[in-house]
Order: sequence, then structure tokens, then C-alpha cells
Amino acid sequence: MLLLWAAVLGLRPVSAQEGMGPDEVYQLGLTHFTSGKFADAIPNFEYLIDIFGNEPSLQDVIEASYYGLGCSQYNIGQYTESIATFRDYIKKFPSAKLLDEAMFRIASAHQAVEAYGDAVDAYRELLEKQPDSLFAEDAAFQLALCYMADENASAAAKAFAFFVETFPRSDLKPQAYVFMARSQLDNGDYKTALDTLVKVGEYANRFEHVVHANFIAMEIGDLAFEDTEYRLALKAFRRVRTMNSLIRLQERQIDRTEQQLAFLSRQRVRPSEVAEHFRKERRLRMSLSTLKDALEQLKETPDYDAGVFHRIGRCFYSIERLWEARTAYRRVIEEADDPVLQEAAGFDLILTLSRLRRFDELIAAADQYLDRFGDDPELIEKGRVPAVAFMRAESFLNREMFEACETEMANLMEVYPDHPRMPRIRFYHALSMAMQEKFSEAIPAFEEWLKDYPDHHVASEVSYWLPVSMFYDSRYEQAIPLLDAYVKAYPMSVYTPEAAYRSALCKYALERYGEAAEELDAWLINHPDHLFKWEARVTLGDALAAEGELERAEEAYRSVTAEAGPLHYLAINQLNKVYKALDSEEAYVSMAKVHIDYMQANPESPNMVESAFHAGWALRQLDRSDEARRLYWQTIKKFGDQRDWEGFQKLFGDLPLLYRDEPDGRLYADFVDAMEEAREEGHRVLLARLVKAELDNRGRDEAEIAEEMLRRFRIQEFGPELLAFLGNALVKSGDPAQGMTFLELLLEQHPNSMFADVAYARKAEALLASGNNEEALAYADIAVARATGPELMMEAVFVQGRALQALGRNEEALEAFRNVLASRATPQALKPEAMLAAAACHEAMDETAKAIPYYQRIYVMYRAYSDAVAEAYMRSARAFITLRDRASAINTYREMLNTESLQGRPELEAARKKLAELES
Amino acid sequence: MKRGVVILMLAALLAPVWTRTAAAQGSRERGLGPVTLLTPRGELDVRLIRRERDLVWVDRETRSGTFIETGVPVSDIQALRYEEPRLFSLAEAARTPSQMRTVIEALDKMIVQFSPYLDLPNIPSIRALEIKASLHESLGEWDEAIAAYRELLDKDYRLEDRDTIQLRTGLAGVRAGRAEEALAMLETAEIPEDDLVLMSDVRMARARAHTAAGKPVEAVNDLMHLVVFYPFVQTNEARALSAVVPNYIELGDWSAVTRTLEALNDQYPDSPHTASAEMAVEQHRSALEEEQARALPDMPEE
Repeated sequence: MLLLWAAVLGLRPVSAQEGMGPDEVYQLGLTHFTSGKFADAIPNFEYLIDIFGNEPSLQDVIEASYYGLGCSQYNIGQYTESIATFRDYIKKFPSAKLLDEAMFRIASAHQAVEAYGDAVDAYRELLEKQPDSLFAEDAAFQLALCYMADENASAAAKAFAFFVETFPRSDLKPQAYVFMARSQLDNGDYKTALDTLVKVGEYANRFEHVVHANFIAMEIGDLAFEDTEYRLALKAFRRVRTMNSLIRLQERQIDRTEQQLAFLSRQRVRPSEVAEHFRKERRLRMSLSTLKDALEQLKETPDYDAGVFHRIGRCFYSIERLWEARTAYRRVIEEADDPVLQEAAGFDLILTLSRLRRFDELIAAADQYLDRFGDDPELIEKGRVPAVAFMRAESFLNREMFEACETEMANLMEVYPDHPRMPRIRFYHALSMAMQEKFSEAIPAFEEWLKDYPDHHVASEVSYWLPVSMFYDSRYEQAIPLLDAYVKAYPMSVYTPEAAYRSALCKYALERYGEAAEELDAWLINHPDHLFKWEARVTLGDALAAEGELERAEEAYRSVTAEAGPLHYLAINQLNKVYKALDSEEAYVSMAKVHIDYMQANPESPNMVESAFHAGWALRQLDRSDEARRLYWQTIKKFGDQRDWEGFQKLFGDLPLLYRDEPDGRLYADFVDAMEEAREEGHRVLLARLVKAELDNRGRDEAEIAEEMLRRFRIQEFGPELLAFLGNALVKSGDPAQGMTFLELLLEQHPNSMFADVAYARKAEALLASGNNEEALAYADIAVARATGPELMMEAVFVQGRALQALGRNEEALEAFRNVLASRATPQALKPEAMLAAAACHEAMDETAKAIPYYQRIYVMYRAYSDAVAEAYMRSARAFITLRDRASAINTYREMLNTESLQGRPELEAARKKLAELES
Repeated sequence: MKRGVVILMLAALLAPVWTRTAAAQGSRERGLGPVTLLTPRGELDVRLIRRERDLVWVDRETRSGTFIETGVPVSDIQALRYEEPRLFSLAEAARTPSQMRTVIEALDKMIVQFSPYLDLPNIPSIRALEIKASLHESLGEWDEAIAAYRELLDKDYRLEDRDTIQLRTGLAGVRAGRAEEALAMLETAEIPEDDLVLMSDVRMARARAHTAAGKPVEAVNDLMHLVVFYPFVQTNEARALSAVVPNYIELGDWSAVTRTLEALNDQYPDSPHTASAEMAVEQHRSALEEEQARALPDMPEE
């Protein structure tokens, strides 16, 4: 630069010698200066000032020497000397061309030696005295920086504000905003700082302080978060750019700045542009240094992005925007390397998922968390691992996976005996057992809970679930006082109406119908809109009917409207009983009307068929058989082709009764007409139903009917009742494979059919026969639960028993066989089978003595079943041998050999041999 | 460019796009080109004559100005460069539907001309098909746009950025209402996190397709990515918050619906996205109010 200044003075550099003239000395100084040897230049300029300082003819040289000396001193870091030189320069040459630069360098030198007060004064002086100087803009900027460096944040903020206002087009404006934000933040005003930072956003892609702006934004966010100003914190954090984007930006900016600097250093500058050139170069170097520092700082910041995302997640969580929080935390988990951050995000994610009630996702996230941190003693100590384990276990409850919940809660109780949420863990443990209908375990668990935590805030819930469990366990006597006490103790609880309702139901179950009716009546007045209101009305009707208050019962049932859904039809069915009990013309008229009204209001309901039956039945009681016949035939013809609909067999069964007073052959003729009509209209399902009913009327046996039906119809033309009939008939007639085809189709196409019980029962038998005991048991359970007739139910219970026996669950099997034996509905042939099986269970449990009475009952009571009798004798004798009762064994064999019905059976030979052995 | 000039130039384009005279080897130009092929032997300035299995026959111009026919194995062609055909810049200038259709017609011819060479890298028909697809998009002809993209994806074109083409196909699929098909495209391509605009559009479109396909959680995932990480790219925050509302309704998360409406009204009170979200909620207003009334305070902690 000084070379340029030399050009201004019209001088050229020469070598320096002792005793040289002033021009030569100056040239020497200038030569050193231009070649960057500032220390060598200094003595030459000093010499000139000392010797020729007052020489009038050399004032131009002296002025240039002062400038050269000041700059050289500045450039080699002799700031104090430089300040003195420039001060003398200003004093001696108050009108010097480079006066503003000198003033700027004085200020800058003060700044360099951290004499910020003096620097501020000097910059101020420049701004006041040379407001139009090229250096004014930089002076104003540096002035503010000095305040910052001097930790005078308030003054710095004001100074930057002054700068952006005074120099609105300055390149330094974005930087000024960043520093202003920094100063405002340091001054404790993070809200204003954030507003300032937002203004930086406009310049975000083209200035070197973007990284600092990001760090400031992060700091503002943290402060705001601490102050629970979550929205403000979020606003700040969302100003922060991602690491990759910043690095890309920063590298691009460094590249650009380096190119600009290179260009500037190659540029030839006219004398008039010297100061501007200096200013630009200074700025670029400062920018480059800032950029490089920031890039380093950025690259060295671990998990920068993950840290920001975690903060964003926490803000969103705090303002209840949970889906946003979930998104942020998930990304932190994906990206963070730092295990501390990973753990924090994992924990926060689980909390968020819990609040979002996304339990499957929670379980997966908790598994991941526990896998990674579950054994960390510090996290266990801090309660974080136990908290996650609890939320995970609780999710099973919320997902209604009660078996898993029970296991998880039991595990928590064992692993974390001092878990801070132990009351809730124990409550959930008991509740999950109750939900699995394991009331005998749940009830003592609830009782113990109440003993251990009587004052806990969950006590109200436990106080409710205990009697409810008792209710479902049929412990009505025990439940009543607890339910009543609950109602009294927690009148405002959401469970209170239900508790009161269940108390009334207990009384009903205990056949205290009067009390039940009274309480239900009151309950309906108090809770007219409760979810259970329809069920309560039906139960009220039942209670009143049981008390003989039939009119009031009718009123209760009739108050159940179509709005009640399935309960509406239930109430109508209950009304049938009332009308039948009333047994009056008026009652039957009402009964017929109720059903006809129902049919008219619900033409699409499958209940129509049953309603038609009840209406027809009522009409028959009124001797209006002709109307009943019409109604039946209308119903059959109109809806009989609906394959899914059921209940027609009741109508068909009742029809002959309606033709009693009609001439012989009239029923058959009507059947023929109906079949003809169905055939013409292509109503094959209806036709199949009519044919089956007509065959029934003719008294054909099951096998014949099945054969005829299979000959005339295809499988897809059978409704559920015919599929069940044919399946059952085929199984019984020794064609289980084809029979099962029908039954499988029934289950597949009509899983909710009332005839599905047959399919389940037969399927269970087939599975049992093939040794698939687990599945057989499952199907038998379903058959029992859905059985519509007691005989089929007992058949299914027998299969249950056999399956349990095969699975080694002898005690449960024994219970099933006892039920089979106790029921009057059990088919006779099944009973000796059940006795043999029960005896076998006892023997398997080493209770041989208990087996013997079963065997004895068989050969005493079921002599007709010779297979069973023979087996019972043989097993009984073996049992006596096991018990070392030789005499009884001998007697048993003898009795067997003398039994007439067993003569000729192969077992007798074996019995004879055994007897001979025993007698010898 | 003035409209009249564009039409005039477009009319000229209905003639073959690249010279294709059928002269024998000699001084006359023939075939398609010129193009520059980068091969292990260096760069060759050639015209494409014909294709025989794995060999491309080209005319190479000699120093004397005559052309010599020579065969280049396809496997030797590492890159292909060409001076951008005027047709491409005309496509950008086309504004009216008729101009666009004229360009499409010319592009089709070019695509056919280059069809024997479609497995060469950077063959001009790749760009031609991209332009054709985007013109159909401008015309709202989504099915045709999809067909053009599918041609690129399904044939043997050597695409440098298959993912982007796939994403564009998916975007057009969403606009065409072909949600399932669009999802298949959008879910299997990598979304470019560098191209924030494309990334945002893809996530928005994918979310829409998820919503239409009854996958609200997947839709929420895409939309939240924009809300949380790229709120200020385009109008991401407002449009994604608005689009997420029907998904929250589907999920029955009324609390999220409430918070989202609050955020929209607070930050974008005059935005059409806010109005659209309010409208989406309108028919569920009573359910929303019921849920809000039913909301119980959290259980106290032990």
C-alpha cells in the first residue's frame, strides 16, 4: 500500500546509507515498508522526523514519514508507539489527507491492546469529527465490538442498533445483528435478542456469522426453556440450521472469501482507492478468520443436530404437541452418538408415546431402551430404567393384553421391590388378573392392596375393582356391602353409578328381587342417561316379573326402545314370558302386536323370523291360526332365501300345529305350492329349506333326509342350519371327512350362527381323535360357551375332559367328567365313558381307591354298555391288585366271568388267566 | 420470447429433430448428432448411424471433413455429451396448451429416433422424456405424465438419478388420484434431503397418498418431518399442519387436532391452510367438543 503512497509523492525506492540525504532516507524507509520489513522501515522514518521534522521544505516527506512510521509500528504490534505517532501526526498535520485513517488506527490500536475505553473514545472522536469518512462505518461497528469486549452488553446493544440504523446498506449489517442479539442476550433480554436474530434470517445464506447466530439461537432457546417460555424456546431452536447445512454453507463461504481476498491482493489500486482497499482487505481477513473459527467450532461440537432436535422435541412436548415431539425424539435416537443424549431421547420418546397412547410403539421403544440401558446401575438408581419398565408393562394393560400385563407387573414387583410406583404396579397386577377372570387370585390381591395402601389415591379404584371382581366371581353377598360402601365413600367418582348398579344386580342374583327392583328403579331415575340404562330396564323388568309384578315388568320392558340395539329385542323376548304368564287374551294380543310392530319397524333384521314365530304363536293362542299361517308363510317366502338368516326351523316346526283344523293334505299342498314358487323364482336356498321341512313332516329319519338333501342340492344352497344338520348327520353316519367339510364351511361363512356350536363340538371331537389335544380343547371350550342345547353342551364338556386328560391336566379333566355325570342332559351312552375317564384320572393322580367306585357304578348301572362294562371289570380288578387287595381282585374277575352279557367277549380269556394267577 | 416466434419455431420442429439424411459414407452428414462419446480411446465427435446388438455404428468426422463409418462397442461408451437441442429450450418457453402439445409431438419424434440407443448414458431421449412428462404435468395430464416417467423407469435407460424420476412418478400418481400406485413409487425411492423443495413436495404427496390409502400414522410421520425439521421451507409448516388434521381425526386424537388448530391460528391466522384445517374439523366439531369436555386430568403421580 505504501508503494501507492510513494507514487502519490512521486518518489522511488533506493538503498539506505549513513549520511544520506532526507529523500534518500525516505526512499530507504519506503523500500523496507513496501517489502513488508516494517521494523527496518521504522528507524528511517524516525530519523527523518527527528532530524528534519521542522524543515519547512520537507513537510510533505515528514507527513508521509509520520504516516509510514505509525503504520509500521501498528503492523508489527507496537500499538502504544503507533498511537503516539499518529497522535503527533494529527497534531502536526491537522489537515492531513489520511487524518481519518490515522484516527481509526489509533482507535484500532487501543482495541488491539484491549484498552477498550480508550478505543471507544477514539472511535467516537472519529465518528464525531469525520462522520463522512470512509472509516466511519467500520468505526461505528468496531465501537460496538469494543463495548462487547469490555462486557458492557447494554452499551454494545445500543451501539449495534446505532450502527444498523446509521449504515443500513452496510455489508456488516447481518454481523451487526448477530452481535446485537448476542449483546441483548448477555444483557438478559433473550426475547429481544430472538427478535433481532430473526432479522438475521434474511441474510442467512450469505454471511460468515451464521454459525454464531445458530449458537446464539440455541442459547436463547435454552434460557427460554428454563423459564418455561416453551413457545419462545421453540421459535429460537427452529432458527437453528442443521450441521450439514451449516458446514456446506460455511465451506462455500470460506471458499468465496478466499477468492475475494486473492483477487484483492492482485488488484492494482488507484491512490484514491487506497483507504477503501485497506478497509475491504481488513474486513475480508476478519470474515475469513471468523468463518474458519466457526467451522472448527462447529465440527468439534458433538451431536450438534441431535442436540437441537432433542431441544425441539422437549419444547413440543411441553406445549403438548406430542406428535411433533415424537418425530423429533425419534430422529435424535437415529442420529445421536452420545449415549447420554440417546438415553434422554429414548426416555422422552417413551413418555411421549405413553401420552399419545401409542402402546405398541411404546413397547418397542421401551424394549430398545431397556436393551441398551437396562443394566446401567446409575440409570436404575435414578429411577429411569424402572420408570421405563413400568410404562412398558402398563402398555400391556392399556392394550388389554392382560396375561402379558400380569407377567410384566409380577416381574416389576420382583425386580424392583422398592419401585416408587409400587402401589400402581400391584393394582395393575391384580386388575390384569381380574380381567382374565382369575378372580380367586385377583380378589386377595386387591384386599392386600387396600390393607397396605389405605390412603393412597388409587384406593378409590381398588375399592371399586374388588367388589366388581367379587360380583363376577358370584360372591354377591361379599360384594354388596363393599359396593354400597364405595357409593357412599366416593359419590363423585365416575365408577359410582356402575357400583350402585352392580349392587342392585347382586341383589337380583341373590334372588332378592324386591330390593333389586327398588334399587334399579331409583338408579334409573338418578342415571337416566347412563350407558347401562337399557340393560338396567331389562333387569328391572326381570326383577319385577320375578316378584310377580307383571304389569310393572311389562312397563319396564316396553320402555326399552329400538335405540337400545340388541337389548331392544332382548326386552321383547322377555315380554313374551310376561305375556305367557299373564295368559290372557289381552296379553296375547299385546304379544302378537309387539312382534308385528317389531317386524314392521325392522324389515332387515334377522330377528324378524323369530318375531314371526312369536307373533304366530300368540295368534294361535287366540285361535287365529289362519292369520298365524299367513304370517308364517309370508315370512318363509319373503325371507327364506336369505342364506344367513336363521330361525326358520321354528316356523316349520310350528306349522303343522296351525293346520290341525284344516283338511288332510292341505299342509302338504301349501308346501308343494311354496316349493313350486321357489323353484320358479330360482330361490334355491328357500327351496332347500322347504324340502328339508317337508321331509321332516313326513317323519323321515336323519340319514334319509341327509341323503335326499345331498342328492338334490349343492353345498352353497344350504343355510347355516342345514350345514349344521348335514355335517352332524354325516359325522354320525360314519363319514366324518365329508361331515367336517360342511361344518368347516359353516364356521367359515356363518361364524356367529347359533348352529356353529355343533361345528365346534364336532371339530373338537375330530381334533381329539387325531391327537391334537390343545386345539381340541380350544374348540371344545368354544362349543361349551356357545352351546344352545344342553345335550350338545355336555358332549362338548366331555371332549374338554378328554382333551385335558390327554394333556395331563387330570384334576381339571376330572371336574369336567363330574359335570358330564351330574347333568341330566348328558346322552346316556356318554356316561359310562365319562366314568371310565374319571376313574382313569384318579388312577393317574395315584388315587386308585377313588377310581374303583366309578368302575363299580359302570357294571352296576350301565350293563347294557358291554364294552364299557368289560373294561370297567378289567380295570377295577387291576386297581385292587395295585391296592394289594387280592381277594377283591379275585372277586371282581369271578363276577366278570359270571356276567351273562359279557359271554363270548375276548376280555374274558384275559380275566381267566389273571384269576388263575391270583388263585395260584 | 414472443408468442408468435415460439409458434414459428415450434412449427419448424415438426420436421425431424436431428438431421437424418441417408447418404452413404462420404462428405454429407447423416444419422443423429452430433454427439461426443467418451471412450477409453478418448473423446469422439460422431453422429449415430445405426445399432447392431452391442455395437453402435457412428460416423466420425475426419480432418479432411469427410465422415468415416465406424463401430463403437456400447460397453466402451462411458459418457455421452450433446449440445442441448433447441427443442428443449423451446419447451421451457412454451406457455399455451397448443404450444406444449406441439413440443410434446416433437419430443415424441425425438424419443423414437433415439430409441435404438436408449441404453447409452445420457441419451437425449432421457431429457426429452423428462420434459415431456413435465409438460403433461403442466397440462394437468397426470396419467400421460406418469406414462412418460414409467417409460424412463421401465425401459433400459441408463438413468443417473432413478430415484428422482421415481419420486416424480409418485408425485404425478398422487395428483392422478392413484394413491396405492403412487405410494409404491414414493416409498421405495430415496428422498433427497439436499433438495429441500423436492423433499418437501415428496413428503407432502406421500402423506396425501397415505391419507387416501387409510394409513394415517404413516401420513403423520411424513407431515411431522416437515413441521419439525423443515418448517420454513416453502410453506411447509402451514400446509403440513393443515394436512395432518384429517389424519388426527382418523386416529381419534382430538387433543392433537385442538393443538394443531391453535398453532395454525396462532402462527398463520390468514393462511388458506388454516381455513382448510378449520373446514376439515367442522363436520367433527361436536365430536371434538365432546372429547374436549370428556378429557380428564392426568392421574396424579405416586
